[in-house]
Amino acid sequence: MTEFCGSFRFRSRCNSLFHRLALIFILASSSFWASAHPVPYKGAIGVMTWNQSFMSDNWVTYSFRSDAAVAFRHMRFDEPEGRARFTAPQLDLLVKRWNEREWQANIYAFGAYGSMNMSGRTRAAGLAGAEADAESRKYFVMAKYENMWSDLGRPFYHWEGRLGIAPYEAEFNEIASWLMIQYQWNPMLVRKNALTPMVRLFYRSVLVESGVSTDGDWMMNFMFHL
Amino acid sequence: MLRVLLVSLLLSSPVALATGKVVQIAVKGMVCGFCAQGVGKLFKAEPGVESADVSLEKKSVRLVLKDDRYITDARIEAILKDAGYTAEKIERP
Repeated sequence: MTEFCGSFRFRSRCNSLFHRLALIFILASSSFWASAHPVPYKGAIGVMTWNQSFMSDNWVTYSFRSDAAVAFRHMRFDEPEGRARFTAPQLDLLVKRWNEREWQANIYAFGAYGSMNMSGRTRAAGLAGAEADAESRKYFVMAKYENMWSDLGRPFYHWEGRLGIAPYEAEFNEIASWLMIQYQWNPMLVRKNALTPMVRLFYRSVLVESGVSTDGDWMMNFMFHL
Repeated sequence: MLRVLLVSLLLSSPVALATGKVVQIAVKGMVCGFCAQGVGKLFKAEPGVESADVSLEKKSVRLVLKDDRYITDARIEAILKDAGYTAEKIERP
């Protein structure tokens, strides 16, 4: 991407255009994917935390409609220049949902505006992203893209994709198990690529994920709905 | 006499007693137990609902209503929409 976009001045415009096109692409092309997490059911409070050695992401959401939620978000990510922190209120929207007999698919979009702190400096920052996933009782696929702008001058963007398979089809009140593999492309971070096999377990409203990447980075994620 | 006999027959029939008491709902999109927790929670918060049992295997929700209470199809569809799903069929056996 850096080589493709050339000089710094042009690069920032090129990156911006590339990211917008990427966002449109994911929204337009992922009509069979779906996701469930950014907006749970109406009235739900969700707590979600994703943690790895090079980044962590924490959300508290409240779904005031079945297709919209407000959230408070805090991210930590390690860039070559140092550790950055992003804190912001966020709006999550369910753009489209497909409910079918054997599967469900969703597209979500979200945007946040708050502050970023890095090396003792704090500046305004914004974030926009989209997530899409599709699942049956047996298979799961998800893709996510995020782009962040900051007055600190460093853009941040990343892609994330997941594939999952359930070894058995759990009933509503049983412990469900999923074997998943996640790929992250983080060109701005110290860990630019991460491929992480993981196990997802959930029971009722509590979900736990854990894995170790092929580079040895641990991952521990936790979610629950009230 | 015939009218009395018919009324007695209806009142003594288990089918007649069950009418309006149990509601069986086929639901589209309900494939994940973690995501479907809202279905049980929202139905149980409904004043007329005694219990709500979700089955991912059958893709259905079985409601048992409180005595003398009724829930309309429109209300069931609205609750399922709030939970993120779509009603496929509503039966009152």
